[in-house]
Amino acid sequence: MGETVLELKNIVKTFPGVLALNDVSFDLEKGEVHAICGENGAGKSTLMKVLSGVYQPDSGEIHVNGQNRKFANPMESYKSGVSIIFQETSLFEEMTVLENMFLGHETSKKTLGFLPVLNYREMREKAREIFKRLNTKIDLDTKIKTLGMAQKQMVEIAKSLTFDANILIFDEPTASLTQREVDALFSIILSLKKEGMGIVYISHRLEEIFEICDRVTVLRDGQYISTKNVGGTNKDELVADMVGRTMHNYYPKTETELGDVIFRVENFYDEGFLENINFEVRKGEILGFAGLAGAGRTELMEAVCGLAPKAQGEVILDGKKLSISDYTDAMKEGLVYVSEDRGKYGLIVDMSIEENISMPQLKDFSKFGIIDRKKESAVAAEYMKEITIKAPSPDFTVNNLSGGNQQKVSIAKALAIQPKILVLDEPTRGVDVNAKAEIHKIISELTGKGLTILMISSELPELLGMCDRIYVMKEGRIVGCFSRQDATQDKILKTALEGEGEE
Amino acid sequence: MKTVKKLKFTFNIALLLILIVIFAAISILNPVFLSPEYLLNVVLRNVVELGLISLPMTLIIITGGIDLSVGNIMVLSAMVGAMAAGRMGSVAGVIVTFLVGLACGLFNGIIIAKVKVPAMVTTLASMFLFLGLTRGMTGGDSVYAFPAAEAVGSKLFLGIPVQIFIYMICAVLFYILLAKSTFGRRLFGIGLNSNATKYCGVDIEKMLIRIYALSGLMCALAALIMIGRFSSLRYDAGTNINLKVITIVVLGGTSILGGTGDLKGTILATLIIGVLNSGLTVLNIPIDTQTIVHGTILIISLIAYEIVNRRTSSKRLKEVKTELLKKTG
Repeated sequence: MGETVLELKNIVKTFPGVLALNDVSFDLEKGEVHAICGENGAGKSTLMKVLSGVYQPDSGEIHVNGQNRKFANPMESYKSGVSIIFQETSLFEEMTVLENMFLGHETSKKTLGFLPVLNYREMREKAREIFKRLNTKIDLDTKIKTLGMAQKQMVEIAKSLTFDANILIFDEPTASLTQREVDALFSIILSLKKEGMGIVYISHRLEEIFEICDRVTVLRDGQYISTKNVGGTNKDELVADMVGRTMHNYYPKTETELGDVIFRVENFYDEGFLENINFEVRKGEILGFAGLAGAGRTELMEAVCGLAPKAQGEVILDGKKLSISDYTDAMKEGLVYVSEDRGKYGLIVDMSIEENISMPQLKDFSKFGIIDRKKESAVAAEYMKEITIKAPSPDFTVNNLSGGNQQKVSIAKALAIQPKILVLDEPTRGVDVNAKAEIHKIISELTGKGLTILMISSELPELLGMCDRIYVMKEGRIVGCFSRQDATQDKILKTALEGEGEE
Repeated sequence: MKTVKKLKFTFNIALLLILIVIFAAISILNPVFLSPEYLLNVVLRNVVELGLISLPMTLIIITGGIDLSVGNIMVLSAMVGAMAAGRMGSVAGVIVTFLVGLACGLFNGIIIAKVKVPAMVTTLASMFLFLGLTRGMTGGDSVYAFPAAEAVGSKLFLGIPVQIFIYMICAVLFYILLAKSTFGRRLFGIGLNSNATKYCGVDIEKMLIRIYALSGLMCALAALIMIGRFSSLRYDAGTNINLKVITIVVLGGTSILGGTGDLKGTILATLIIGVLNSGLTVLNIPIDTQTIVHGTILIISLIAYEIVNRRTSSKRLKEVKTELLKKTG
């Protein structure tokens, strides 16, 4: 291979309470496709954000084309020749393809000698040339919103080429593409590679890595694990690297006596995504749902709880078939969902703790439509004590609480509804280590009291530590189920990646 | 929301001070202003219609919406009501007035909640629609008051104009509805975070339709009072009212972005506008200058609101931090 075009040396990046990247190094050669893989939260995206100037590293060096660089913002990174194509495209829907491609670095000319106006002709010519290189035809004057996912991605690639980049980063580029579109994308990547571009390819689809990459670097929990030639390794070895051997025992799962099957979902599907979902859970059980981002776990739970209409299938609780048309119905039956995004869906952060807790069931907190504030306050105080929410008083605004305490308010709000089945979606996302342990303890205690919990988590150790059984989802289907004794990170990850597991 | 309430409280005191200062200044310049007859029959009586409509408008703005068509709903329902009264008698007139108001409000509410057209655009369009309907139906002629309208618009009870009692009752009811009831709490929820409110099982569409319908009904009530007060009404009478009502609500400290506000502020603001309107007239200040004064006062209070807002919230945050430190440390 040729010269090294990109080198990251000993990158460290911390966020409050989290060590996101710990001493990570990486290099890329001219004309190479280098894959970065790892589980959700392994640090892949953080590393790329450091490289593209979105984040600044705490320490470490970035060498681009032989020069030591510090990027204060993405534009500086672009200008030095690094271009990133994000998972979610950053295009403006209401603008045309051409306008998007040159946004922020439009070429202009002087009219009448002084008035700068956009030089559309020059931009158009340049854009045509780029699309010719990509061997693609897209009308430069159509608005982005009329394009499909694959075409949008093509525009992203074309946009990055307007910067004369020689390093291209693809962040999960195939996540929302069809097989044919993936093939088209790969032929473009290969032709860019032939031109001498260095390409970083982030993906958790192992097949793809073996198809087009030359080398692969594995990250885990923000640590650098290994770099291997693709020709000299295999899937099992990669999965082993991604998962690691050690298993921390943070999780205070208390063994509980499981009751009979209390809740069953049968032949459940929706229009287009969820397919033939069947699962059951026993009273007092913690049932985990594993899968990669976008596997459909949240969609499934929202659909089961009546938060996404148009889903069909049987939902059976305590032997009774439920007909749930909206979330109010679900709550009445004792089926309660705690959202993964507490700021957007879980809590009204500008309201107080007590107001959030009473919100789903204001009727029970009122007489003749007038709210009983004393009761509100008393109930909130009770839950604050029970699950140790650290706040001065129940009328304290949620916004001023820490992430962990906000999450606890979210859980308290759900518990106040007296659920039979509690659905927790990423219950410890964005909370610090201590709060995480506390939340795990709370979950464990709740099942001891006979509550049944369905838990979605993207952290495998959390699922393995907390759950009695774990279902694995991939692309809207359940592809595997593991008991506590059988489950290992390797097995689950392999099932989530490849979709073949023992039912 | 305690913090929010605390700061509202201080802003309401600021409003009260503004009211007292304006009131005192006008009284000193022209003592006629202070006579009970003038206060009741001119100052308060003239602002009742605006005050009544600003009550539901406060609810609407708290949800993050707006209704630009209220004045036109009012005049349309007054016109159709008066025409019905002319043919079928006073009772029919009252019923028709309320039905028209309700229908207009439902029309707005359904488009906003179900079709999800932004409230600003919906009510801007319906403002023209209602204005056109009013004009078309009357052919540009005036309509005249009927007994039931006169009973609420130009009669006295215990020496006080009837509509003042009506306003007081409505103000108390709306205050309870917004500050104390489950309905009011949900309105704040919608304004602060409609997603999370939906995830609490609140039927947001139904809530929105209800408050726009309620607004239509209050417009109809104001319509009866207005036609009773003036004894005749032309189709273009309502055009100024739309912005005046919104001005009152905003002056009262309700955030145009939704989520915060209360009715005490709206009521105080109604009084301020009432005193200003009549007071400047009593002082023989030309109408152009009156408008300038209005604008200036509005801007001053908005600035005051921002300042009070920032100070109290930062002060409150400091208190909380020390409190927490004491507890944990």
